[in-house]
Amino acid sequence: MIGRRKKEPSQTVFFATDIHGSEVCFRKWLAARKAYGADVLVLGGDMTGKALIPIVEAGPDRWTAVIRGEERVAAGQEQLAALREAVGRMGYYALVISPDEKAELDADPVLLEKTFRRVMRESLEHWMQLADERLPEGFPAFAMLGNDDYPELAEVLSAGRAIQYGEEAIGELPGEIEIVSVGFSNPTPWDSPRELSEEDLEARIGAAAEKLRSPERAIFNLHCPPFDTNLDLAPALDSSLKPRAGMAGGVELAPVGSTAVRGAIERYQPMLGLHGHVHECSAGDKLGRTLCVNPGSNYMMGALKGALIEVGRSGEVRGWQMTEG
Amino acid sequence: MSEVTGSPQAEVSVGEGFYERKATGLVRSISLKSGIYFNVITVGVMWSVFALTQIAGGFAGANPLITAILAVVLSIFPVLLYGLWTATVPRSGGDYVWIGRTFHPWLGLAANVNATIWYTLGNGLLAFLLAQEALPTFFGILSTVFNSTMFATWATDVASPGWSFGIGLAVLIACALLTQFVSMRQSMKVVFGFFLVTSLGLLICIFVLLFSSHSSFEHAVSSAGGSYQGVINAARAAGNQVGGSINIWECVLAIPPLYLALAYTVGAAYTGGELRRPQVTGIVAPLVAMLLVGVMIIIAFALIGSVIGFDFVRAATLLLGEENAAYPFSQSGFFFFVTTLTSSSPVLIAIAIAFLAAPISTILATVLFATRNLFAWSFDRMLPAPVSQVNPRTGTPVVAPVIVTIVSAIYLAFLAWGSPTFSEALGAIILGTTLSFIVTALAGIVFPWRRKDMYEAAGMRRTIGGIPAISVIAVAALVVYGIMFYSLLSQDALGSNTSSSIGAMIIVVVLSAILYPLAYFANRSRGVDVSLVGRELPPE
Repeated sequence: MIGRRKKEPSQTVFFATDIHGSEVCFRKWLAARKAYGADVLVLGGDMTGKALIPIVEAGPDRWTAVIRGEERVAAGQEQLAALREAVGRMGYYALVISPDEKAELDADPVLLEKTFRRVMRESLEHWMQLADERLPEGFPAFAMLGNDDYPELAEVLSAGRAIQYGEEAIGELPGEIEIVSVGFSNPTPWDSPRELSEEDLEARIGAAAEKLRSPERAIFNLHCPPFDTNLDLAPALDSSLKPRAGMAGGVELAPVGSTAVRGAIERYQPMLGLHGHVHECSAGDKLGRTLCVNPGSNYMMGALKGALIEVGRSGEVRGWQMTEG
Repeated sequence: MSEVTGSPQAEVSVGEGFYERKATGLVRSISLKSGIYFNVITVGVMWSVFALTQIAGGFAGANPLITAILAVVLSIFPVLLYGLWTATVPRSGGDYVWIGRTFHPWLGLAANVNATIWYTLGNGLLAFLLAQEALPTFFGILSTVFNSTMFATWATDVASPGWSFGIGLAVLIACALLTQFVSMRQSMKVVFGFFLVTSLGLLICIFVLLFSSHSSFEHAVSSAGGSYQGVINAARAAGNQVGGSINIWECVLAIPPLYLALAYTVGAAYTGGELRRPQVTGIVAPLVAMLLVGVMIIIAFALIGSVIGFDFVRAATLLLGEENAAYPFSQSGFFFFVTTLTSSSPVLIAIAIAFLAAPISTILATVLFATRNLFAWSFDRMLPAPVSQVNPRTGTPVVAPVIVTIVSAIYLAFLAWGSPTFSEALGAIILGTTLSFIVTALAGIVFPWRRKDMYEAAGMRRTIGGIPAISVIAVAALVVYGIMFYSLLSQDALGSNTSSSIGAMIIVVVLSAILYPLAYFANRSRGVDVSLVGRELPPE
């Protein structure tokens, strides 16, 4: 286990990101403390899901849902619970409703958005309860919102006992190592809820970093990866926002990271950069002395991709590895 | 290969059976069509062509057409096993992950390394074949078409050990450079291009055979100074059994060279985490790919049987090996027989180019596949970190292709100067990779019970007679692998039961097995425990 054979004081940081509403991934993140022997847990944004699956009443004690194009039927409460669990495992929110309620949601985008926001909040509140139950008092665990999370959910994270909302204040790890968190991203073609221009993102990161006592011993938990590294390759889109794809070789890749994030890493040279945002780009890279890591995400399969980083108390990365648990 | 799911959305939107909200949608996934395509192009159609003379020449009681049909039927189980694994545990990495999670990461890595080493050695064999078989045939056809002695001389010269090594090495290096400096998308386009040329050549061959008669081939043999029946009689006179009744068990034992082309149509399984709807794509894509390749082989063999005759193919292969003058040609084999049936220069040149393109397509696909594996091991700290170094502009591996090329080149040198037979070199590869397949089948049998937690959470949990489908199919696949393994070890004609083949298999197994402990101890000093890489996290 990482950190078990320490000659010098060190600690193991477990970092995962972009779990997008997958409760099984969140539970696994909590379990990493024991399973991996992690001393610190960090969750790097985009906590909420992207889709609601309506499970519609289809008769007495009978429900139907369409999951990834396949119709599923649940007969009885036990099967309904299993169906809800299957939906949750794929990172979707299950919503048990009547046919009339479904018709209303289909017809009313305002009601649909309200429902989305309510379900996301309830789910996140439940997660905070889980964390309160499972993490011991004083255990360093940090989470933040990503660009896909609605801003009002920050208050749910703030209200949690066991998890510290990283964007609220500088976090403190044993050995006077600080962690600064910024979950906003640079603009994306999808105009997601928490995006900033590169200039504003630079200013926000700068303002947070200025509060650090010694940036070179700090961890920068920045949702967006630094521009033009191994961490930020994503499919290139054409002018109509469709991927430049071809049968004989898939899509063209292009860097989609943030120049502001890259600038901050190069300027402050922290010991470690933790990033996410680009799910398919599981990689590590060096920018000067800073190790930058993006474990990627496989939340739809219920698999938690992560990175275990061995951090020396004197402020250096001793070793790191990717995991998929 | 990849496509993107996700599109610009309104704040919220209604889909088929779901509601979506506006969120980042940059997720690559492989569609069913791309999965089939990926599986087909990563296997060498040319293997089936070589199998014709191997089957006919090596097995007196085997009919190549029946062997091909049996190979397609039996390959359903291994292919279905990989499909079920992909649907049940859709993680990128294929058997590396499945075996690792079921038994131990050590065994998962060893099985994956074993298979990858043999695939890489296979590239050495393909590069050698390019110089030894494809280029001489190419120049031979050019010399006939253009009536040129220069091309005839080249046809002989390129088959020398020095030229074979030099040409093979140049091709290996060119493929490595392509994967290093050109994006995956562009590299796959090149693979597709070569695959298209090969497939076109094979289709042309099929058309030539369709419009030829048995008597036209007899005439071609006569024109070359021989006699159709004389060739068969000469082979019999030399003490060989030619003709007679068909032995189904011998047909089964002759399957291994064909199964190399059929049961390996599972390349997309290694990209499981990127498959769109893995429960469907994972199973359907390899099955359809295998059936496509299988039908092509069956049609080609049926036509060869009708126009050329399997007795003649067997006699020709045996007499050529014995350098018996009763056989009037200097070559045998599928492509060669077809070239005797036409005098059309464009057709002959197209066939020659197809023959040349066939090994290059497979070499390139294998380099891409092997470097991906090396990259994954390095990422998991089983190999030093620089092995996973990536060119940030193209997203392509930098160091891994160099390693693949070095391993292939060593085998190429051995083939050029060590002079093993083609059957021996090919048989060793099938034998070695089958070992990894056997471990994958064993893992499939016990997975639902040994990793009940993972199985319960799996997206695909179909049963057959109340028993998990993956276990039932794994048993069937294990039987097929067992038959192949028995055949490879017992049949001299396959060349894999020589002391050098078995010795090579043991060496590769040992090399594969020691990597994990080496990585474990090397990383431990840095506080990294490589056993954590594949440890399943308990959600409760």
